Amino acid sequence: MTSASNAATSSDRVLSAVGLTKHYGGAVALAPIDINIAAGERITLIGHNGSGKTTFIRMLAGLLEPSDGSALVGGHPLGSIEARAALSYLSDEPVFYDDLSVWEHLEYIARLHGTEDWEQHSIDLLDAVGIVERADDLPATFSRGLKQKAAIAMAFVRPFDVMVVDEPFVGLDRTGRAALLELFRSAHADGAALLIATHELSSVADSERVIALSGGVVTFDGPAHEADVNALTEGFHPDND
Amino acid sequence: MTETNDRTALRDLRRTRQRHRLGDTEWFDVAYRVYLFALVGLIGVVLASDAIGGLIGDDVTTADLLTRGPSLLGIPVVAAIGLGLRSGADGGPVSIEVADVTHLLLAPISRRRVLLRPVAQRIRSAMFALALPGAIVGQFVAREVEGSRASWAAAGALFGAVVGAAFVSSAVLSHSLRLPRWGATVLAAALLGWQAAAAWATWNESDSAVRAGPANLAGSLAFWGIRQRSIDLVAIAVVIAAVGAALALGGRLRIEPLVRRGRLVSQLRFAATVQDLRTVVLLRRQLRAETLRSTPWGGAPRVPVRARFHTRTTSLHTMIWKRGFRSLRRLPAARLGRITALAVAAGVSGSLAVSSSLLFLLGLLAALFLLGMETIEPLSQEIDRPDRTDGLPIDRGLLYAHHLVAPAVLLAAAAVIAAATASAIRPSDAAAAWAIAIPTLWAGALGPVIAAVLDSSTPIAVADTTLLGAPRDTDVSLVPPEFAGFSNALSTFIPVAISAIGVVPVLAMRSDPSAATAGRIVVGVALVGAAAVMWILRRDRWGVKIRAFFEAGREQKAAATS
Repeated sequence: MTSASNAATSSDRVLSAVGLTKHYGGAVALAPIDINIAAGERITLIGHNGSGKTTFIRMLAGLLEPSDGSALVGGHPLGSIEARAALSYLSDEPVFYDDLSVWEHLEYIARLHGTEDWEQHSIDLLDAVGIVERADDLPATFSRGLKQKAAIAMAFVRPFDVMVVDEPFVGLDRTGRAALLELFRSAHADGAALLIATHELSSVADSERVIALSGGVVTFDGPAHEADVNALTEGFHPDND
Repeated sequence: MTETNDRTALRDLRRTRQRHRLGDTEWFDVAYRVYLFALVGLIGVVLASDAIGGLIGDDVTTADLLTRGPSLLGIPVVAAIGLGLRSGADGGPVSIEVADVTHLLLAPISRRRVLLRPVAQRIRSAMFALALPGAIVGQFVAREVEGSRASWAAAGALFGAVVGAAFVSSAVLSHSLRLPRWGATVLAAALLGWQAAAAWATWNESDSAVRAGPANLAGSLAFWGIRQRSIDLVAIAVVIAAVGAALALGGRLRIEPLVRRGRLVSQLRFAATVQDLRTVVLLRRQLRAETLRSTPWGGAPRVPVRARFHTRTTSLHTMIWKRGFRSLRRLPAARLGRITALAVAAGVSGSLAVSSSLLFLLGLLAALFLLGMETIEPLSQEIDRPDRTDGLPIDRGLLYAHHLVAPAVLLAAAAVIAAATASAIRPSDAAAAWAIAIPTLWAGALGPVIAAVLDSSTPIAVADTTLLGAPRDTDVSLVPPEFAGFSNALSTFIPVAISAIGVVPVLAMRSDPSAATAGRIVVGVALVGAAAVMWILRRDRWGVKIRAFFEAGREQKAAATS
């Protein structure tokens, strides 16, 4: 299925994948996927558990090796320095250095990405997610929800053209969810493309486009208002494989 | 459940599991391997002892040995007790499977009965593990003093077994009596200080009563090859009493550390099986419940978060260095203590390797390798979190190379301790010790650095296929088990061999302790270090070129075929 965005001109594309595939031995985790994401697009990636969302997101983030196919971020191969500068990844399983506080993480990440005025930006982000008082603590010792909030601040403290997000609402309290949605809106308004994999169907309302996966296959790719999200996220059907 | 029933149920469960575990064992094969290991080991030890020619030096007489030896060898005994007390306070030394915690320790049966066997096994294995090297060292010593090889080996084995039993029983007692960590540290330091003072007083032939150390009698057991004193039996009696108490109180071991250790130990066994030294060291730190400091040395930043503006702009490189020093500021006191102890061990081993037996080079190599492992925390953090590293828009070779700056500074500080120790032991070699200390420690750390960098996964931007063109995720399955074993052994051996460069300066000073030799050593080590840094910086680029070369070859072959 080809959506309007999928047919975007190459100059508009911040992310494009051709035949992106992942299999483990004989098991296909992701059938070949062709996809284009235009600058400023907000996309929700939906699908039941095991549909291949995380595999797809981690491949785009350059953390999982495609078994076949290729993808470009801003015209650069996955994992290249330019691609890493353009793409921000917010994982559902935050990873932190054991030896750096939240503030030290923010400084390290922001500076290596060349962020201007990183201090004010960091304070704003920590304020937004409500952990400014924990800035000097080690995030490795945080609870699940606090870790997710720290990871959100780290994902947004650096500049990016496209952000790929995997289950961002897991473990977040109401304040955290509201803050995250506001950060997504703000990044989107600034022209960044967002690809958000989630089971939170309320997120679909804010999106322009929905991509649905089932058994590793794209079953829907089109405007959000045309997507029957309940049907698309029903349990796994082996027939889809 | 009655006592008889629970005993029977426990016995039946263990028998069933043992039957499953040993069901496929080829006993003849096992016996043959044990025979081969024993034979090769025995021949190796005899040949090595002939080649090395002894441990203690020609100027030490048997009388000296019997006078000064017991208090000196009391130091390892109290060190084992101190380590045991600390280990117990940290939740050691016993580990059982997590399933045993869930199904046995949470069942309504006697915990003492469940834990008796693991505690006994731990004591037995520690005694055997130390009796063996004790016997080997004993027969090394036998070449230089009176007494037969067999009697010295037996005495060494007895001493090793006593040290092993003292370690485990003090750990079990510390754990089951809920000794706090600070209490264990104070007690261990007091015992060690007392024994060290006794050894010092004995060495200097002081008349003071301090010469009576707490472990002199245990130390004297090592000399039973030529002198058997009935008073030394007190040491054995004390150790037997401690073992008995540990077996009696074993049921009071805490559940929480048993769960934590149970999870870690299975990983540790796997890491040890594949000879992954870095993971073994990391997991051992976790087993000791050693965590990085939540408040760094020097305190947390004093400026409130909201007032932190206009931080002085630094370059990319200095930011990475800054991150490294921040990491070092969070090293726990236990780790810094270990680094200090290893630096002292390096100084002692280096000095003795120059003045006495070459065998001490092995101790120096071990100290240098472990020092490297302990100090490269910033690099390890980066390598163990590829998710973070691969998100940074910077060449990872450059990143890794700059992460060596902070450890190099810490190693330089350790080198000062090592040089001071070596100078205190042999003041005549002080100039040489100070000249080669830093190059020696830096070169010794190259092995762990290279092991860590080799552990890092290759980003897909560098290589999305194996050298042979297959998808990378099929890489492992293409390697036959025989080659996987060989490659594991090689990946363990190479870093240790590289660390051995660190012992070269000591060897050189042994043969020619001149300023010119020291100068050549500094230049040589600097060149090796530069080569290692160059490899770290360029590794990915070289990898891309090598893959391009193979790819071109495949394309040519395909073109010729078609």
